[in-house]
Amino acid sequence: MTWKIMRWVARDVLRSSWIFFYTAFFLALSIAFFTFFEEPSRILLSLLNLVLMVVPLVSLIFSLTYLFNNRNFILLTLTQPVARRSVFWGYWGGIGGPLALSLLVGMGLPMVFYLAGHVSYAPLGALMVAGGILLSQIFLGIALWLAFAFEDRLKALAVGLLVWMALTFFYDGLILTVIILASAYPVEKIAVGLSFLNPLDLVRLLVLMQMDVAALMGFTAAVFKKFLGSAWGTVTAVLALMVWVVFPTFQAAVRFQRKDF
Amino acid sequence: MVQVRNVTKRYDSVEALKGVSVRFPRGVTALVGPNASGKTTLLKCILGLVLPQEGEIRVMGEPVTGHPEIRRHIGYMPQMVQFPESLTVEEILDWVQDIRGQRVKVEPWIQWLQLEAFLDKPFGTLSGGTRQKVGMVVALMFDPPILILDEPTAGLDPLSNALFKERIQEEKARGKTIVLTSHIISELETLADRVVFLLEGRVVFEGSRDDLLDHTGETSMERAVARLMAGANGGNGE
Repeated sequence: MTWKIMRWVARDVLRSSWIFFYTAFFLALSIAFFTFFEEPSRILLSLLNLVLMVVPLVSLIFSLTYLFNNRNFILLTLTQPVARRSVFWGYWGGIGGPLALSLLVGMGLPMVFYLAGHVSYAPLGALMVAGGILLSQIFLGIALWLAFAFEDRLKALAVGLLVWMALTFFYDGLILTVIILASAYPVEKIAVGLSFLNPLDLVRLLVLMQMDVAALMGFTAAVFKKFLGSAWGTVTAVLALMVWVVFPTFQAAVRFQRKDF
Repeated sequence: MVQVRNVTKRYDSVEALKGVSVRFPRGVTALVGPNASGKTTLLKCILGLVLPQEGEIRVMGEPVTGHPEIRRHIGYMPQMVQFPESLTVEEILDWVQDIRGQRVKVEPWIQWLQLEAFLDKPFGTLSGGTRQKVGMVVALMFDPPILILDEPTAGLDPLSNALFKERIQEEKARGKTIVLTSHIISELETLADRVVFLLEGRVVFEGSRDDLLDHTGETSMERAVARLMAGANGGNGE
């Protein structure tokens, strides 16, 4: 049943102009970067910044808008002989699938063509697409949580945007402040701990650790590598990202189960 | 057919249903009451959309909570019919058959409400009345023994309205349990055998239409309901 609902939701989502423009946006910029820049590491870094900035915002706003626009339809689906669980996971997959597909087509496809000539960069390219997909799922989870926690769409949107801004802009400032204020103490450990609280930082760390460009690494990535080494650093970052994928989504699932429609 | 026992529903500080016990047997029951009296909440509890804090609801002998399969026996039409905007009418009818895992002949229903011209139109482009018609077909097409219709005629044109009433009479004759709400009491007059009057989350009257007329000393259901509302509001009416 979950699968059936997922297919119907995905069918509707794939017809929306949002998804089309989102895919076209990544496709156009990826092709432009690959065409106009020479150095693969520079192209991948530009794409990384694009992913970190655009993917969370689009995933969050698109998912929230879709869920609120379809509230009465979700209600109507629940009046059919289907379990709430199936409806929830149907929506999760029906929105998350197309979001992932957009990145696969918009970024993955140009990479396959371009990186065929630079095979050594292929794992890094794959990691970036995977990081983008993980970020989509994390922000979809946050959107599901907010959509079923708030009755008012504006409140949900406001809280969502605050979370996005906090993670995108204020977080680095927070880390920097902590480091300056606590400069008399061994601050590296605190900085590493704080990075776990931000999925955007985790994706950035994961990619930069593989790139081995110390100059671009920034403070947390350098510390991460120093403390945990590349292999352990990668494993812990991936595990922390998984927690970020699972936690908001399961919170949303629990809310959905108890919600009055 | 539908049995509600001591159902209480609180939303934060508001108590929407206060220990409601009521029975919906075969035939047409009109669920009436002023705005915010708890009508929609009660219907949503029966459908499992709203989860009451206390009490129990049984549909055909089975408890509603934790039994989604029960809803196979219910056809529901909400006040606001909404499907994804991009799906065409044909796809919507396909959707509901797919979700229920039940295939039926849709052509007679499409002809009944003259929806042929809209089959390939996306739901987002349909007028309010046509949307209602689609909702009506979805509620009726599986021939369920219980029909729950929340303000079903709002926005319907006179012809569709007449067709709908005719259909309800037919379904009633076939022994179905039908629960209707409407703000237009005169509309319920010709259809309903029984009346349940809700006020501030309590059932203040439950009985046949004749009982209601006797109880209030009025000659029409519209006036009888108006009297109940006026009495409840200290003579101010709704």
